[in-house]
Amino acid sequence: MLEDLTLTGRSAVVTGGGRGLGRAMAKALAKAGANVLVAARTRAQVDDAVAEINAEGGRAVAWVADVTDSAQVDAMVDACVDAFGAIDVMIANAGGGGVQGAWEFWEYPDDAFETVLATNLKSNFYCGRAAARHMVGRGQGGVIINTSSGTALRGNRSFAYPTAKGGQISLTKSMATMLGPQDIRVNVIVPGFVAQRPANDEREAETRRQRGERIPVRRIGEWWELGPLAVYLASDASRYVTGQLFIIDGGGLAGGIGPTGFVPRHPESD
Amino acid sequence: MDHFELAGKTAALVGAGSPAADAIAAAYREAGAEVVPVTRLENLETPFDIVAVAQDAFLAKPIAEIGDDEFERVLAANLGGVFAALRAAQGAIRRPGRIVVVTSVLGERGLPNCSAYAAAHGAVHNLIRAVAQELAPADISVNGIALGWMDWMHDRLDPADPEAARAVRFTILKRAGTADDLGALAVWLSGSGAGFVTGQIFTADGGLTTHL
Repeated sequence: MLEDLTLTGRSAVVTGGGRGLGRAMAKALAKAGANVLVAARTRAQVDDAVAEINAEGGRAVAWVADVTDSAQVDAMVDACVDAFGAIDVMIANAGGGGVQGAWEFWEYPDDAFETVLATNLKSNFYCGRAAARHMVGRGQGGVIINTSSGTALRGNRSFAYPTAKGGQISLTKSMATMLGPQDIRVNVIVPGFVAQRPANDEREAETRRQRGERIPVRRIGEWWELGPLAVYLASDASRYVTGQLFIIDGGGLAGGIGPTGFVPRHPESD
Repeated sequence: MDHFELAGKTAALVGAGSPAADAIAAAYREAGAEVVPVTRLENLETPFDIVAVAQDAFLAKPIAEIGDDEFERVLAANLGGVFAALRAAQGAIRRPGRIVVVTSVLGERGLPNCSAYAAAHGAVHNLIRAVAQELAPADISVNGIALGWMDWMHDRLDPADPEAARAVRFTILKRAGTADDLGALAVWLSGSGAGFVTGQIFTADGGLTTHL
């Protein structure tokens, strides 16, 4: 069974792969044997990620792309096929703009809303479409993984971000439905509070500890913890799994109807 | 046509005496319905237009301390009565029929010490969805009302516990629900305007389960 968890001979694109969760997933895929095209907007970051993967014995190439531009996304997927001969796995992870909750709803500007939707939602459509064209043409199926956010499942004041992230979940389900007959599986990872990198200093570590107190497992997640989940979803181990949400959040969304620490008690049970 | 008018309708109320049942009884009566408290629906002469089930038995205990018997009791009190009522409903309800079941948001979410209760209400939610499919051809709708923190729930919101007060402030509306918050929703679901609504769980919780 565990031999299914290998990705040897598979080729993957990871967007937003220069840092944070995308980089962690790219590294995990490479470690599991995949060839990885690491894509992001910032050249220095993708070069650094690729150097690290290759230094550890993996096989990765760097690519600079803005995933809000469909022509650049198409070129990125073509580059993966050129470099490795195929694309088996697309991890559409690039996103962001989560902290731009600076406006009241009635003051929210068009461009802020549209930028966040383009970065997080349209990009998933472009990446999935470009990957699916190659996968369908090749006829050997494939895997598409989108990265959403726990904010998708609850309302919050960042507004455009959770809206886009919620859209990714619907997008995933429809893509899974439309691509199932082509043996292309589509799932979405839903991280809760997950640190993108080690804390820079004690103050940041303390902020993270405080945030962790609101989570049932009493800590926030770490970037590398996305890696094993990405490998599972990218591999044949998940061959019957499609259209699903994979929440990785330390239990936050399973409860979350009271501040953590609230424990109902019967007077007589004390 | 007033979709909130229940004059001429007879409603069976299972679970009479609970605060939720009292809330529904008051609202139904205000809307003009005759309300008949019943313990079971089987073998009753009167055909009803509406059946409301409002049974609730909370248990707050760590799972390791809940014995088999206690678990059975929680299931029986929260789920068993709903099952029995839904099973008997087809023979007891005139068409078009309406069934309204009061349940809890803990059927969708977990909290410490709430394992048995949350499990029972999770089962109630899916019971509603399943039976709605079975009774739809008979023109009987089945819907649920999932309550959050209500102002009568001292069994789970100890007035002396500051954490409980904090939990209530955690709702979007920053208050506990009232009898009227439940009653109005039950009247809508029982009225002529809700004929296309079945198999749904409606949450009356002040936004508790909506925000992050």
